[in-house]
Amino acid sequence: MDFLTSILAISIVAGTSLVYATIGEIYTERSGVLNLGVEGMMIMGAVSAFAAAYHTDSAWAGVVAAALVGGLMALTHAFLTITMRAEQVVTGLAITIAGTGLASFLGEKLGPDGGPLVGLIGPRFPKIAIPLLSDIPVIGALFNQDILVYLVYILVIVATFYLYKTRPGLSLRSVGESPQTSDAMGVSVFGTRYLYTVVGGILAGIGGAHLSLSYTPGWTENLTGGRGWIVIALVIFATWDPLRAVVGALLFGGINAIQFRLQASGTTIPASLLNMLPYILTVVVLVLVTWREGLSKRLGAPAALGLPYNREERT
Amino acid sequence: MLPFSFKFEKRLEPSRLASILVPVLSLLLAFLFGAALLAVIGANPGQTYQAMLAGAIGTPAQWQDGQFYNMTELLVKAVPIILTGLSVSVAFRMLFWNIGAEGQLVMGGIATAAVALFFPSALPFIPESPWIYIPLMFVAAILAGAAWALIPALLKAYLKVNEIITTLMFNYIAILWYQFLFTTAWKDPEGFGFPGSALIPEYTWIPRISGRLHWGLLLAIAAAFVVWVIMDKTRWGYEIRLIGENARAANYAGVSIIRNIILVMILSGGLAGLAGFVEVTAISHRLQHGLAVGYGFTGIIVAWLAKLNPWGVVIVSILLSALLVGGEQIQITMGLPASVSLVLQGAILLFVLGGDVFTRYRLRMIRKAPTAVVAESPSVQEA
Amino acid sequence: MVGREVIFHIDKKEVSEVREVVLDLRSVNADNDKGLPALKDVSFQIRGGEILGIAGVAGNGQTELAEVITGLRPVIEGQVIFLGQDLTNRPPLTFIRKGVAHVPGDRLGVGLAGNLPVSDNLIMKAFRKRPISNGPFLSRGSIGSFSKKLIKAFDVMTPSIETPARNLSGGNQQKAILGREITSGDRAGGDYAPLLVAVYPSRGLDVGAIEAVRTAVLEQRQNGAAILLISEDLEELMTISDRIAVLHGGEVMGVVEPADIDIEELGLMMAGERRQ
Repeated sequence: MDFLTSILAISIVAGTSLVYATIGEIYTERSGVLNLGVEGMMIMGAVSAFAAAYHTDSAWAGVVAAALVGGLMALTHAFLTITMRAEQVVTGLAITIAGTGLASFLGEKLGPDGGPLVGLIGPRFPKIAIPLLSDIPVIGALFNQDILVYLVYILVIVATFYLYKTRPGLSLRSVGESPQTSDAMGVSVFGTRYLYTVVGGILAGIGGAHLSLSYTPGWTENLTGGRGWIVIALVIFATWDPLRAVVGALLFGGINAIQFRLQASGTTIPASLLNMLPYILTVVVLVLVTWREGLSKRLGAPAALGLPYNREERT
Repeated sequence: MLPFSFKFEKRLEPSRLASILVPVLSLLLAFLFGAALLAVIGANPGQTYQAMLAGAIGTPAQWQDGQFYNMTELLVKAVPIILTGLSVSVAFRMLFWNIGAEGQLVMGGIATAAVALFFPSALPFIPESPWIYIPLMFVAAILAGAAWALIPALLKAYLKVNEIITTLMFNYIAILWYQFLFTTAWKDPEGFGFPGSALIPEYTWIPRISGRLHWGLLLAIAAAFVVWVIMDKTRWGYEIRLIGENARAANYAGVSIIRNIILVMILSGGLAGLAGFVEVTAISHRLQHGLAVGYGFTGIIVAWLAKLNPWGVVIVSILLSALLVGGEQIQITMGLPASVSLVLQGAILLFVLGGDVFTRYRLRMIRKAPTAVVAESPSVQEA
Repeated sequence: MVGREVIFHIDKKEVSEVREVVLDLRSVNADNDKGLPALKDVSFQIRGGEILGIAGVAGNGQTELAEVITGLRPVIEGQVIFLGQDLTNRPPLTFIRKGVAHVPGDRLGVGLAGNLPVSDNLIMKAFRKRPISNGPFLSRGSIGSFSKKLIKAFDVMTPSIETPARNLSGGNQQKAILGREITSGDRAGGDYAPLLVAVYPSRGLDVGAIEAVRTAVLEQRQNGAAILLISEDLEELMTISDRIAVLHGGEVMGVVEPADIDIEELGLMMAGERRQ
C-alpha cells in the first residue's frame, strides 16, 4: 500500500510538466502546426520561472514569467511557419537549439549580481493536502500535491470539454483537418493557428516552470532532459486526445518514480543505465501505438498537420 | 485600417538576389540580436564580438609571429561538423528527419575506441600498425553509426514510426550508454578515479598536420566530394531527390521508398559515425567526457543553412565552427558563457528560415479599392 | 486559344485483326486508403489495339482500378494478368519494366515532382535505362537530348528544360506526362507501351490540349497498344472507346459497345443499374 502510494505520488509530480506541455502541443497540432520547439520552450520556461521566482520571492511570478517566455517563443514559431511559411520541422528544431543555448546562457547570468543560478534555493510551491480526500488510501496521493498539480486536473477537464463540446473547439479541429473548408466557412485559419500555437507555448512554458519550482526545485543545466521530445511522442501516443495524454504522462511519471525508488534502494545498476529507461520506453510505446494504428488504418493525426496554408495555392 | 495590405506571391523562379541577400542579412540580424542580449547582461557587444573574432582566427600580431593556433583549432572543430552536416543533409534531402546524428556520432566513437582498446589483446595476430588499425576503426565507426541509424530507419520504413522521435531518443540512449562505458564498464583502472577509458595505443592515432589539426580534415572534404557525386551525378541521388520532392511521384516512378529510407540512413549514420571516429582517433584518444557536445545538432543547422548542398556544408561548417571557437574564447578572456555561440547559431538559423520566404515569394502591396476585387494571382497558370 | 475551330473530329480507324489479350483482370478485389472495399470482383480483358473506356461517377473505384493495374495498390483477391504473365501484387517497377504506361489523374500530386525541372520529370520512367544512366551514373548530356526530343515530339511548351514542372500550364504538364509514359518501358522493340492506363487525361485542359491528348491516345491504339481510359467525360468515352465498362460502387455494371447504347442508358448504369 505504502509503496503504491509513493509510486503514484511521484508519478503525478513527475508527470505534471508533461501533461501541461502535451495538452499544449495537442492544441497546437490540432490547428495544423507542428511545434518541435517544445523542448526549447520548456527549458526556457524552467530557467525564467526560477529566475523570476528567485528575484521576486514569489513562485507565482515564476509561473507568469514562464508562460510569457513560452508564449513569446511560440509566437516566433507561429510567425515563421504561418506568416513566413518556413519549414515547420526545421523551425521547431531551430527554436529548441536556440532555446537550449539561451537557457544555458541565462542560467549563467540571471543569478544575483549577474552570476549563475545554479545551486540557488528559491521559492517553491508547497504541497497542500486537501482535508478528507487526502486521507483516502492510495488515491489520497492525488490530493496531497502542489497548486500547479491541482490546476492541471482542471486543465485536463477544461481542455477536453473545450475541444469536443464547444464551437471554438470545433473550429480548431476543422482548421487542422481541412483549412480550405474552414476558410470557406469563415474561420480564420491564420488566426486560429496563431492562437493555438501561442497557447501551446504558454503551456509548455508552465510545464517547464513546474520542473524548476516544484519537481526538482532549482536550476541545473539540461534540467528538462529531453522531456519536450517525450511530449511530442506523447501527443502521438494520446492520438491527439487530452484525456489520453494524462495516461501517457502518468506512465512516464511512473517510470521516473521507479527510477527514483531503485536508486534510493541502493541498486547496483549504474545510474546512466537506469536513466535510459524513459527514452527506451518512449521508443517502445511509439512503435506499439503506431503499429496498432496502422493495423486499424485509423490515423489520429490532423490531416493538415505540418502543411502551411496558402489561400492562393491549392494542392 | 491602412489603405493597402501586403501579400506574398509565389515567384516562378527563386530570386537570385534574395538567395544571396537573405543569408547575409540573417547573419547581421542574428549578430544584432546577440548584441542586444549581451548589452542586456551588461557586456560590451563590440568588445565581445572582437574577442570572438580574435578567438576564431587569431590576430594580425599572432600571424606575424607565425602563430595560427586559432585557425587550426577552427578547422579541428569544423571536421566533425562537416561530417554531421553531410549526414543530416543526405537524410533531409529525402525529407527523412534524422535528428540522431549526435547519437550516431557517439556510436561511431564507441566502435572506434572498442577496436583500438580491445583488438590488440583479443586478436594479437593483427599487426599493430596504423595502416591496418586506422582502416579497421574507420570501417567499425561507419558500421556502428549506420547500425544505430538503421533501427529508426527500419521502424520508419516498415511500421511508419515517426523518425523524429526515434532518432532523438536514440541520441539520449547512445549518450547514456557512452557515459556508462567511460564511467563504469571501460573505465581505466589506472586512471586515478578520473572518469574515462584507457588511452588508445599510439599507432591508432590519426597523425596531425599542425597544432591539433589532423588529416581527418581531408577525410571530411573527401566525404563531401562523395556525397556531392552521389547526390548530383548518380541514379541513386536522383531517386533521393525525387522522394524528397514528391514521395507519391517517386513511388509511381517505381522508386522503392522503403529501400531508400534504409540505404540513405545507412549513409547518413555512417557519415555521423565517421565524425565520432575522427574525434576519438585524432583528438581525445580515449573515451571521456566531451564527445557528445552537440555536433549532431550543429549539423542540422549547417545542413539547412547550406541548403543541403555538400560544398555548402563545408563552407558553413567552417563559419559555424568559427562561432564555436570564438565562443569558447570569450569564456576564457571575458568570462562570458560559451553558450553565446549556441544562441547565435540558433538565431542565425531562425532568421534564415524567416527570410527564406523572400527567395520563394515576392511581397506585393495591394491597394484597397472601394470595391475590392483582388486580382487572381497570375503565377498559377492554368490553361 | 487554338486559332481554329475544334470540333474534336476524331479519325478513328478500324483495327481489323483480332490481337492478343494484353490485360486480363480476374475477379480483382482491393481496398481504398481507408481500408474499405473499393473494387469488388472486377473482371475484364483488353486486347491490343483496343480502348476500354471506364465510365462512372468519380469515387466509384476508378483511381483504385488504375492503381491495381500499375502495381501501386495491393490486390486482396484475384489476379492481374499482363501479356499472359501473372503480375498480381508485383511492385510498380515490374509494371514499368513490362511496359505499362500510366497517366495518373492527379498531375501534380502523383504524375510530376513540381519543384524539379522539366527534364528531371521527363526521365522519371527512363532514368534506369541507357543512355540516360550509365551504370550507377546519370548522363547530363543524354538527359538534355532525351528531354528536348520529348518536348519537341509532344509539343510541350516550356521556357527551358530547367523550368520547374509546376510552372507549366496544365495542358503542357499533361503533354509532358503523356510523352514520357508512351515512350516508357523496357520492352524489346516497338515504339509504344503495350498498355496505357490513362486516368482523366483531359480533365481541366483547354481544347487544344484535349485534342492533342486524344490524338495521342488514338495513335497508341493504332500502334496496337491496349488502352484503359478512365474518364468522366461521357462524350469522350463514347467517341474514342471501343468498349465501355461502367463502374459503380467498385463493381462492373456491364461492358457495352458505344454503338449499342446512348448516354442516358449509360447514366442509368452509372447510377447502379446492371446490364449484361
